[in-house]
Amino acid sequence: MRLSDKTAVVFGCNGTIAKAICKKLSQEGCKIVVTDLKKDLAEQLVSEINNAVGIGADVRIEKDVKKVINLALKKFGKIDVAINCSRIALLKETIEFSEKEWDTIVDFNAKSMYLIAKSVLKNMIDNNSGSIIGITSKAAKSGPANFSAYAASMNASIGLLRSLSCEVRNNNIQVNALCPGYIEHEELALGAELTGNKSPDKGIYVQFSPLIDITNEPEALANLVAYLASDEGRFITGQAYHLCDDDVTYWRNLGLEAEM
Amino acid sequence: MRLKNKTAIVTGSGRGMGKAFALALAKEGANVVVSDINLVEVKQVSEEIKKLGCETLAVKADVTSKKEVDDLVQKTLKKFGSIDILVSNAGVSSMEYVIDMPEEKWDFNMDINLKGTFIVTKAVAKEMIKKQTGKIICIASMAGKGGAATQAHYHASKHGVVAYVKSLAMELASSRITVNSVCPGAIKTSMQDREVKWSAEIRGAGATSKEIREELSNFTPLGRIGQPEDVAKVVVFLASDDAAFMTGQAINVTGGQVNTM
Repeated sequence: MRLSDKTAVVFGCNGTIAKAICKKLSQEGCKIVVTDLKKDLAEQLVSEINNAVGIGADVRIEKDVKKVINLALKKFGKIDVAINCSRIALLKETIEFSEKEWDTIVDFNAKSMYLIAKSVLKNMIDNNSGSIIGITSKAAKSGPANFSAYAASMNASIGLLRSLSCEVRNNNIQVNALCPGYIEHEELALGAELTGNKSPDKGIYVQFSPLIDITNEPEALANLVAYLASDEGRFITGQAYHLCDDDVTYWRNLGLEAEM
Repeated sequence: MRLKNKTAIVTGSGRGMGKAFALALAKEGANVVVSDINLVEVKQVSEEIKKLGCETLAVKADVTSKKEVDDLVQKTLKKFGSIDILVSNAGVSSMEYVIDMPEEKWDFNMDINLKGTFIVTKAVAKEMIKKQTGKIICIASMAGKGGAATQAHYHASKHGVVAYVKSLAMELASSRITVNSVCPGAIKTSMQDREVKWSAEIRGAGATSKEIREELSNFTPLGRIGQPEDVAKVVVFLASDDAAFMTGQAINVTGGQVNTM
């Protein structure tokens, strides 16, 4: 139980990755406030894990984010870990993207990270301790076609986190991003819902490399989150990690030597 | 004259780097549409271009306004018939720590630097697709690759531009349109003048603008602050056929400053 003295707030729990993260933190003894745009999703997850409370919140609204932080402080007295799993995606050519759709994607994915970081920092600075983790996407690095707002918003999150890591360097607070290698069905579904588009067919997701094993990635990411949340991860900050299925291994597996 | 008979739009070209880009493109023979929010400055730059013997147009446009950007595109098409080159350059910055950052400052940086890039490139890409050719150059920043205290919003917006450009490049590749971003380092502009002043204020304890400037040079391996013309030469290269086989890239023009992140 590496996190038995820790308290975490997790924003956005509709996806498989977010659920795996919450479960892992709970298994490690962490106390968690689980939040989602849809309150019932948060409450459902809370019923499946230990030491957790659920609350509904829209991460695009500062008042809502503060409400979550205040609940965590009231319940547990401090916040050691803040994790943003709020992610939505919309598959559409840039020239067809409306300004309203752009705003929805960018606010949900990137502004959320700013509002969460800003709201949670005071308590972490007071405690001279903390870990902030943004679940972004490998799309931030690769820039796939027909996901330009998604890629832009996720890299914006990384830019924010990198800068923030510099700001809190002397406060013993680590700030990192993780970059899953695929877009979950839940991201596409919620993205379509919030922008008034047609919902994707059941189970549809988008993978950025043929080698990603999406049955294992949520758990692998959750392990990395637990590490970054624990005292073992103290010296890691300002990083944006993706897991090992990158383009280099892809080419190698095809029998072609990657030019390094 | 590498850009004879080409038509270029440069947003944010009333001053600073944008002005240098407009002049450099004109010197290579391009017709240049000068655009910014300050019509007086836009007209002045346009006059300078006229003196070089080039065709030019001055249009006031706010990149966050779809209406004004559409108007910029239509005026350009009316006068020149096509848009061959777009330099999406309009940008702003401010400085505050995340913990003190008002939501308006986040929006200010993200709306102009990132959403403005989306609005302008989208409007112009539609026209370029009709011609199945074009060069789009977005001015990001060294801030698109690293991190720095007091500018998390600016870094977020510029990271956004770098990723956006990669995605857009993939979408427009089949129309033979190239899309690249340029990441300038410390460049002498009015934006830098403001940032140097703010840095001195934030740092306090009698820090002077002169000291901050010296630091900027010292952090730059080539040992000097860059000039807008340093960046303009790279923009002209990307706008020319010399860069025909480059797309989706983010080119550093930083005097050797690198970010390993």
